[in-house]
Amino acid sequence: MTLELVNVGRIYGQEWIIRNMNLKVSNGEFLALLGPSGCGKSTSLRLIAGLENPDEGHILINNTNVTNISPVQRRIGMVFQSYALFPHLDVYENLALGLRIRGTQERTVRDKVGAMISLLQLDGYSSRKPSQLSGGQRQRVALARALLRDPLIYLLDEPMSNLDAQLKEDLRPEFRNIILNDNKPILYVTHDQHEAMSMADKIAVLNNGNIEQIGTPTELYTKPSSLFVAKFIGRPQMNFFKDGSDFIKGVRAEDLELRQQGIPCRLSYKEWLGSNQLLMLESSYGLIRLLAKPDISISENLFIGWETDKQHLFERISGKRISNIF
Amino acid sequence: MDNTQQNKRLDRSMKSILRQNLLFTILVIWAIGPLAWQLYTSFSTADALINPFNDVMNRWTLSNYKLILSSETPFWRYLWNSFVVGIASTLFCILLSIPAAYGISKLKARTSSIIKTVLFGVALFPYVLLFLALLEIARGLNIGNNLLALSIPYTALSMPLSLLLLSAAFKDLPFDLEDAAKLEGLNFFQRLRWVLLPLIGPSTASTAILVFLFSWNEFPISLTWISDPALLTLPVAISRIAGSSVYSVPYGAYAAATVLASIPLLIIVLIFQSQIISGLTKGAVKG
Repeated sequence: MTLELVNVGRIYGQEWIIRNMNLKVSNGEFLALLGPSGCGKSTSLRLIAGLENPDEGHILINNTNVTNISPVQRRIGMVFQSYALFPHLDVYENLALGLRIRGTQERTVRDKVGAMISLLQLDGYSSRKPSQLSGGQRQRVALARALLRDPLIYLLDEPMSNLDAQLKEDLRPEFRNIILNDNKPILYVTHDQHEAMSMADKIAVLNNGNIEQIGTPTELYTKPSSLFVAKFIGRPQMNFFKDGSDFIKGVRAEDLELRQQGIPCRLSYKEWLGSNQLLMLESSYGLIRLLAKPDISISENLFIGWETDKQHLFERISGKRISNIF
Repeated sequence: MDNTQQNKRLDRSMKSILRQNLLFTILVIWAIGPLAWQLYTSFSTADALINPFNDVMNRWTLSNYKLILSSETPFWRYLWNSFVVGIASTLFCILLSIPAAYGISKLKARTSSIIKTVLFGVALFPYVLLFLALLEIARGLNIGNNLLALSIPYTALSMPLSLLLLSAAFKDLPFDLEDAAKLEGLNFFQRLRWVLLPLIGPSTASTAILVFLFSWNEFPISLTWISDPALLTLPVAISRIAGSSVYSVPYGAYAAATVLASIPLLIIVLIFQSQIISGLTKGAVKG
């Protein structure tokens, strides 16, 4: 089972929200759509779900063209950012409604919902209304509903964004395991690169409705294909050195070294991060971020440099990566 | 020192509570006063209304109620007529409004705001101007003296307000909810039945009551469409209570009739109290 997008485009008025989107997600593959807000990532999920229709291109599920099939018939399991639980129904009824509508026998409904409630550790909450649940519990109910749909593909629209940081970290592996267990294609939309890097097998970075790069988290980090990806992936942000030529050099904060001579800098301030310290330096290239060992003392004026094999080179005008130049 | 300050603060909060209670009492008197007066009048003899301090022993009477209940057409008959018209109008109006309001709520912002402006204008139109034309229609179609036919203009006249309230209710629902229901495989009617209608229940209840109230109180159309004494609705029937003339006004009988006429409304409002309040405030804030 695969999900495939071929040249999909969506236009609002005069503006293309998504253009020439090509994607392929296979069974058991966890792909994150990552991008800043307004880049078209939620729209692409709605196109796949059938809640909106593309203005060009095709959407294929298992090699069947579903572009003109209604969402009711598409068998999509979706978790919404707002969870979209039915507020007038309790947890059990929220989960049972879809099964009953799809003609499941009442005894099977009871078994399936019961099993799902214990799988997601919601025992004891089945007669609570969504408003009486915590954010984490609501998210589990939404996930349970998507799983009970027995879908062909999973679409997850920022399912973690309403949870606090600690809960997010706790839930990530569990969430990933439960949903990957079903061995279906999974498309996960997020603006949080940390979340994408930690959960996804592959990440597609979206910018202005175009996919800038698709690759594993490691590929995106070590070989960003454009300035946008280089800026977007990795914290602290990559440093860029523009020297008036047609190229821009990019160096990650951990690849910069303190040296006896090199680019002269002045220490602006530093952040203690525990395992290392982040130095913010002023130089003729602007603000530079450098990750240094935590135990060295830093003087006011210093020099920095880097090994050329750690450097990323981009074309100034197109922003594209230039590889294998050194 | 501390103690006196505390006392002062206590004093001030006591004062504000007192002031609030006073305001509340005035409001309650303002609202209940006329009702209480009506109730009092309905149990008073005509003489006691003119000379309240004379003849304390014989001032209370049931004769007003006896009068209106023992008339040629018994009073409960009018109650029933009004009830039939009210229920029919409410049912027609709600059944027609729900799909239309859903449609309006799904239109583009520009189109739906134009439609809402028009509806608002229509809702404010003084409908009394229509009753002669409506009478001609009733005559032409030969649908006078028919309670169900009377509910047709009532339905039409209630539609604008009903559409405004219900489309605001639909608009208030988060649209993710309907999308989620679609993905669960619910078709339009299933979504309406299992998701949308339960969620707009309070708004529907308050809209229904407003429609029912309009029908219950309406006078000019009912006056012209219905001439058969057995089919009169309450407002018209009350206006015809025996003895009304320029020289003598049967205040007691009027009061007894209005007291009886308001009992069904009071029962409905008591039953749906909480829904009415939440529905009305929703329309008020976001409509």
